[in-house]
Amino acid sequence: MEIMEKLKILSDAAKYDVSCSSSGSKRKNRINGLGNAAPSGICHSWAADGRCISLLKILMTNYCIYDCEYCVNRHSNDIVRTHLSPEEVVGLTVQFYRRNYIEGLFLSSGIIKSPDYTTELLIKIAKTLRLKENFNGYIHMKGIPGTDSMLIYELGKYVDRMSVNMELPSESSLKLLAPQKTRSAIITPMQFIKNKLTERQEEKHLVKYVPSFIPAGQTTQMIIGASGENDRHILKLSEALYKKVSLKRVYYSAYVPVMTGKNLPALQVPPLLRENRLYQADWLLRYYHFSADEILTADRPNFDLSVDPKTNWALQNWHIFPVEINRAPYEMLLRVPGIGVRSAMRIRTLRRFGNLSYDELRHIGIVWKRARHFITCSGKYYGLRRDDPLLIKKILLSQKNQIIFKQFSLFEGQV
Amino acid sequence: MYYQYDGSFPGFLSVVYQAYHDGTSHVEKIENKRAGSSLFGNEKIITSNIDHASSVINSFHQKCGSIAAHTLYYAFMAEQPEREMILFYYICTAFRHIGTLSVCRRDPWIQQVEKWSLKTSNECQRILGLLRFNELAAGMLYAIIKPDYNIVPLIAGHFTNRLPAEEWAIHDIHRHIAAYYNKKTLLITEITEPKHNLDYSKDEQKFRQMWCQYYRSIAIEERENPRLRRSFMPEKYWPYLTEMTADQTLQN
Ligand code: SF4
Repeated sequence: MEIMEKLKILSDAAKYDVSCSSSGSKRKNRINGLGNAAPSGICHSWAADGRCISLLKILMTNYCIYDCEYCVNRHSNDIVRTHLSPEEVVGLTVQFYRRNYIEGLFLSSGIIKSPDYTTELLIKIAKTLRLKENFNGYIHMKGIPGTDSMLIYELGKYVDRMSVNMELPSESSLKLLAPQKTRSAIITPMQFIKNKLTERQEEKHLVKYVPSFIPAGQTTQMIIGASGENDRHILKLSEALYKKVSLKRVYYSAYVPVMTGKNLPALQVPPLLRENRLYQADWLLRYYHFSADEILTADRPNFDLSVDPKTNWALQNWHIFPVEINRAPYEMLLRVPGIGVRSAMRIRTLRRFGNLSYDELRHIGIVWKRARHFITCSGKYYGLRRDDPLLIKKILLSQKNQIIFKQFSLFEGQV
Repeated sequence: MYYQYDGSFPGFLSVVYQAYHDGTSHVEKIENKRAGSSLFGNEKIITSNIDHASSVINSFHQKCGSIAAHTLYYAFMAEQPEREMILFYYICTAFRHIGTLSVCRRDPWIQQVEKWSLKTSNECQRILGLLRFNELAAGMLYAIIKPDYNIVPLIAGHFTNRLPAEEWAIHDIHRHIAAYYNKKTLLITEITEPKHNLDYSKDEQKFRQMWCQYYRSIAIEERENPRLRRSFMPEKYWPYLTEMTADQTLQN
């Protein structure tokens, strides 16, 4: 098969992987080498769906011995199969990189023969790029569930980021939809990576030179809407993953109904809004000191799709509001809808020099339309109804451009 | 006092040097010679002087900090009309408020300078991603850009770090300047006679097509969102993007 044809098939098959981020690595170029990594990542293009293209995101092969029901590459699906040789992957990466099309490579793969065998091929590619081509751009590779830890370790020496996909949020859905994968086959490599990274942190204090190992950390991805878990379940799982295996990011991928199967839900469109709410809630976990239990309670385990999770929390906890901008602790400022991390920090700094006035507050960069219902400034309330959260919700919902705003923030912070 | 200079950043700094010598309160106008039309006969023509320029920028950097120096340089490169007097004001203000320039944040002129600088940085950031090299027959990588601001000198360093073992050029076809790197040194130069008939390498067309193919197949149809794409990647950059000029073959 022509390489053009392979490229078409194998990039098409990789497109459902959400992550295209090239951030988190400070890899430097070497003498006469090719490339380096930009710590905050660089987007090189945006596809027709508005997603950032930063890496050559492709499968090594779409042959697969597994039969995950939601996946186009599943063994029992009758499609054209093909395989890129290590030389072809390396050649494409280098040539695309030189032309400034990409920041590097994101290589994933179906499983051929066994997880170990597949990983060995991935190692070969990573090694050729680093050692033979002297390539120092970004490399993200998939950790294949069930791979031997020593192979994961070997691969980790050459890549910037590794991700082992959770795929489905519970053991029972795995059993149902991805029968050959088990929770432990997925968690074991994650745990291993986490331990290695911690070990290295400790070693760094003792020895001068520690060899590279996954400098941009590990991430994972979950498919949303292919199985029955509620939002609270998913969010609690993410929280646990951040805490226990120190993931850099959890990506959520709205299930695109490309396959039909007896255990798959009959969706018409991917649940994009739900996916977006999960990203927003995830953001609250990582940057706003929220816990999953606060965002979604046991008696309301799913998102209210009409409002963002932060506003939702504020409306549920109306008795705390409004808060006084000049006195509320920083952590509380963070919880006010319409106030972001940056504006909360600015408020904290500026109020040291005396009370903030209304005018100053308006120039600080908060989303006033939203925030004003939840705050007082030197005792004065500027919102519309301090006694009626339901009305506030109505007001917020009626504000124009809500939908557009939601769509636009979808891939925020992707890089 | 009316000053004229050559329009370059060192030239501008040389004026600043001279102005401090003559007394800053006498400065009435600083003018780019190329744009200059108002010949009163009493202009002081300042030639670029690297020693003078570096002494100004070094002391500015040292006293007012690297953020202010960065702001000054990037704002200058935004090439806005009438920038000189405003930037001169910025320099004087910064020297007067050493360590407390942030207090002047509410000053509309200072805000203006910061805005210019931000615009330039944003465009740099964008172009670092959107720039596309084409491989010429002799192996050189060649990129054409048409940026709003004068960013070629600002982004060249990024590519010397990235492609130290390649010969490459980045050509701003609007300003007729280019960064040229020959695997050893970087040169920012004027291009007076652009070459029209470029000879591309034999593989170039193939890689362009593969990139276009990749670009098409990576998008998820069910999520198509042209508005979102345009907001990230404004249409004015499309003519220089390999993937957006997909089906045009290379012109020789
Ligand atoms: S192992 Fe991966 S590629 Fe293979 S069927 Fe499952 S999800 Fe698809």
